[in-house]
Amino acid sequence: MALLAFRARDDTIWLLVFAVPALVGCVVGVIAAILVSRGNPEPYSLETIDDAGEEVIGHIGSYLLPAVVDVGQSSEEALIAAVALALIVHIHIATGRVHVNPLLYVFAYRVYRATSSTGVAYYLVARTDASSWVGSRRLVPLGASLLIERSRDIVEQG
Amino acid sequence: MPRLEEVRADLDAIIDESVSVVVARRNADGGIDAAKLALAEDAGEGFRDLCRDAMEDLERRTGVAYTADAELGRGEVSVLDDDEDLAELSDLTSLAASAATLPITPPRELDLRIQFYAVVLGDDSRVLLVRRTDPRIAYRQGRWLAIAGERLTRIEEPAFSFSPGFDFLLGPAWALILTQAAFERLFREIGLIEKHVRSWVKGITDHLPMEAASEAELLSVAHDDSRTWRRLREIRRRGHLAHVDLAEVRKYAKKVGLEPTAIVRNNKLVFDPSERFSFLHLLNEDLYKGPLTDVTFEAQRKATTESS
Repeated sequence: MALLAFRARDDTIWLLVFAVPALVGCVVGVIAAILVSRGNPEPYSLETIDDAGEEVIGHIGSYLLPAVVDVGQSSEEALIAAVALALIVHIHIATGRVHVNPLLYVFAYRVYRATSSTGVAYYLVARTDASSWVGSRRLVPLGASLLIERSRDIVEQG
Repeated sequence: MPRLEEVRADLDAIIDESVSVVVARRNADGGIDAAKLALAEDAGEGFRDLCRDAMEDLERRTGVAYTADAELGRGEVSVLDDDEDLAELSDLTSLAASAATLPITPPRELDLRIQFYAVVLGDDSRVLLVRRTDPRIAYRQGRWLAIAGERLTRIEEPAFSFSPGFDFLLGPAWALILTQAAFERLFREIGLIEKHVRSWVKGITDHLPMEAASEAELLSVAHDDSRTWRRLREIRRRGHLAHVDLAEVRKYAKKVGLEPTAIVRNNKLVFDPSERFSFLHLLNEDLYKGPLTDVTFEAQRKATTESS
């Protein structure tokens, strides 16, 4: 969104169309980071942990869009980009892949699909290699289905 | 019995580990519906402080056995470590393992349907510190104009609240009862009496026949009266009736001054709710005649002398 907003910088309306969601996304990200840093970690025993890295490919379309569509050229191009992005966002939310955000990989986090010993399924965002975890692990829940491994809990648990 | 020092050491080892908070109530099927609260780290620390206070309180208490006649005094704590005791509490202890993965309940749904809450401590071996909820009439500052703002205003609905202190603690291999009345009320309210009372009565009826009406009366009384179910529970635990017949019961009743026909009639035990303690004391061998005075006494506590 931010890249599309940058490309549409000469057209105020399209700039707003792309910049506002980009800004909202950033604010949500910052709020999530604050909630995680102030959250209470709990011990989770995870029975199965599968790398969800391949689901990142589903995001590639959204990242290619600013490269192949020049929204500054015409309103028609911008409209196509906006509709395509809206579809991509909708599909990711509808299929539950909204947590597999490629930007997490930029911050050295990986995304996993995990199932607890009580059978509850989660998306797990972790910095360490989750496949090597033994026993329970302190994680911060963010909502009902997302678990985050914090850096300071990694240090405390070793 | 684990010594209180060992329990304190268990708690000391986990006090700085993870904290979860679980709220629960009995569901329509007789099971327990539980949910956890999503906590900010400072709220978790607040609950951890409550646990520290409970640990300090434990240091001032002495351990006593949880017997049929147990009446916990101030400064006492009952320690349970028998496998059967712990099995009866397994519906609660299972919450420790699943606490983190329970569904999250929003704070607005904390209401008076909740029967107890538990702070769950530890990373691997988790301990539950349980408190029966205590609805309170709450007050708030008035809201209307400057003068009314100074007045205390009653909130009409009783409010859910967290309170300092816990009623009982459940570890992987022990349970501590701190407030006996709250523990026993909760035991009944969440359906544990209902779940186990038949098996306790079977401690009698498996060995000695009882009239059907008497058995139903005994079940009903035991459900509501903690002294009755505690004694039934002890009779079953002891298992001594397996080697007793009705003639011996009659003989024992006569010996301690009870009317044998009030206990055994038509070769069946008869239970009269108004004489429930005589009946249960008799079957638990709690009555004896003083050899010097011939007065009938009731034993409050029994200990065998053979092993000592």
